[in-house]
Amino acid sequence: MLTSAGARRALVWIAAIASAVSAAMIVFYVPNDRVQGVVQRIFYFHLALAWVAYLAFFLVLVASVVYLVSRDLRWDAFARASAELGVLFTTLVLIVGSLWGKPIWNTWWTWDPRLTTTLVLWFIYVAYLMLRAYTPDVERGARFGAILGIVGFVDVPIVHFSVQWWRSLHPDPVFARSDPQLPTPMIVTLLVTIAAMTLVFCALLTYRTMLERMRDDNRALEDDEVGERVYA
Amino acid sequence: MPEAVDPMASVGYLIAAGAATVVGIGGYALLLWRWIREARVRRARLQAPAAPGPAPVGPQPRAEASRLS
Repeated sequence: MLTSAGARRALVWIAAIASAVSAAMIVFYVPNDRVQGVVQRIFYFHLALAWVAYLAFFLVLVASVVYLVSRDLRWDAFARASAELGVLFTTLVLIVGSLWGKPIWNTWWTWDPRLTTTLVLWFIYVAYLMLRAYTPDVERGARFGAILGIVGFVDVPIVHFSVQWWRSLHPDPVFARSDPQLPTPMIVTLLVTIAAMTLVFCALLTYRTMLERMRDDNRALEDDEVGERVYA
Repeated sequence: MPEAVDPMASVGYLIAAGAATVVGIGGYALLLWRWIREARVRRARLQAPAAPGPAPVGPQPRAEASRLS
């Protein structure tokens, strides 16, 4: 993660500019979908949010494995930060998807395999955050969290391939299918939106990880203070 | 797409989805900024040297003991 305050601030500015460009492209540049009309523009940030959620949970997996190997609490702080952001982005995927589903499927929610497995994913990582919040022993919480962070990731490929494995209302992945291909302006807008959302995620993750470390340091300072009072 | 949905409603759904994304991410960023500020204040308080307490009033037991001996 970025250690200098200047680099962190630069990342925030780059993410903000990229987000503004992506929003302008979604509103002014990309053409309307022939079948769905203007509401199809939700697709660009719905997919970008989902990509970032996958990325966040993948980083939880990597940081959890590294923590179990190294027992370095900095990796645990990184995993906690990434899990919280993953939950935030999955929540937004579900809300935005619901707002797209209503005009297209005529329902806010359906127990479709993609939607259901995404909701299960959300519950798994909410459980992760609850586990971390309610385990007082830091080392034990980190160990349990790392195991749940690894096991929980099993649901991510299930979410991704659910539309191919089971009969689903949800469309197939747009990049995986050979025909019909998306028109170039749609692909460009999608890639810019994914890049912007990834930058926003990186900026938030940098500050969230910094906060976790500050809290850990504060806890250590508090323990020292209590120790001094006891032994004084 | 159901025929009952008019283009204006579609624009409404699009705006609602965009607003949900902006409010969600922006709200979280604001919370994060507040948490960081609180953590900095807490750290400054923990690292500050302990403030001197009030001057002791009345005879001090050890001083008394040393004078008696």
